[in-house]
Amino acid sequence: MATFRDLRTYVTNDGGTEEPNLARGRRRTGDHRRYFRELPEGTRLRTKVSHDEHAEIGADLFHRILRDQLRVTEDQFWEVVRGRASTETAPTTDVEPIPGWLVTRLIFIVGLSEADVARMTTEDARAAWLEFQSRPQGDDA
Amino acid sequence: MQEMNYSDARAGLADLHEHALRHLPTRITRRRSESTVLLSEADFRALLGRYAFHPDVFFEGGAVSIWLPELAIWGRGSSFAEAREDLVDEIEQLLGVLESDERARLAPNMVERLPWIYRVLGATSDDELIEILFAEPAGEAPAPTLAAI
Repeated sequence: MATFRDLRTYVTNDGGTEEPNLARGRRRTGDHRRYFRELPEGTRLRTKVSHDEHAEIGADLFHRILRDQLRVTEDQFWEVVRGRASTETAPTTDVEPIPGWLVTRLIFIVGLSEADVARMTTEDARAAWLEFQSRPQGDDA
Repeated sequence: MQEMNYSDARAGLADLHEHALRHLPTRITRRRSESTVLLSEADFRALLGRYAFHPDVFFEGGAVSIWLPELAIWGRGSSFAEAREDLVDEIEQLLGVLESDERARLAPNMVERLPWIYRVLGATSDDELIEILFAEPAGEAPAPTLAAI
C-alpha cells in the first residue's frame, strides 16, 4: 500500500512544483505539503502530501488521488516512484463509501461513535439514519 | 435583461442595486472588455443551489479521510471532525491559489468546477461551509409534511 512518502516521491519525480501555503489564519495547513503540475493544455493537477510520510494513504483515498488528482493508473504511479515497472499491479477495489452528509448525521445527530459508523456499509448507514428519523419525536432511547 | 454601459452603470449603481434586489439582473457592457452581470446575492445563491457536494468518507487504517469529488480535494485526520476541519483548510488553500494565480484560475479543470467554487466562495463562515458541504441530498430528505408547508 502506498504511503505519503511514495506520493511525495511521485510528485518530485514527476516534476511537481510545491504550492505556497495560502490558507491564511488556518492552523492545520502546515500538516501537509501541496504540489501541482500543469499539463500542456493548461489543466492544473494538484495533490497534497501529509507530513506524516510513513502513514499509509488508504486504498480508497489512494484510488481517488490517482484517478482525479494525478490522473494516472496505479502502474504508472509506481513506475514513476521506482523508475521501473512495479509488481504491485493489483487494481484497487472501489468500495462504495459512506456519503459525508450521512456520516455527519449519524455522528452528530444520532450520536453513534465513529467506530460504529466505520463498521457500517453504506446500506447499514442509510438504514440507521432512516430508523432514527422514524423514531417518535422526544424518544431519546 | 436590462443592459447598461459601464459609465452609466457606475453613475446609477444605487438604482441597479435596487433593480437586482427585485430579481432583475443587469448586464453591464464595456468597450474592449467582456460584459458582467449584476444580480442579487439571493439570486446568485439560488442559481448555485443545484450544484450540490457529495463528499465520501473513508475509514482506513485508523484515519478518516473525506474525499470531495466536486473539487478533487481531500481532508484527513484521526477523527471525522479533524478530517472535516482539514477539508475546510484545503478549501481555503484552493481559494487562495485561485485568488492569487491566474493560470490556476483559467485551467480547464478549474473552470469546469466554477459553480462549486462559487458555492464555497460564498460561504460566510466555516459553519456555513460545512452546512453546504454536508447538506442532505434533496432526494434523501423526508417529504415535507402538510403542517410544515
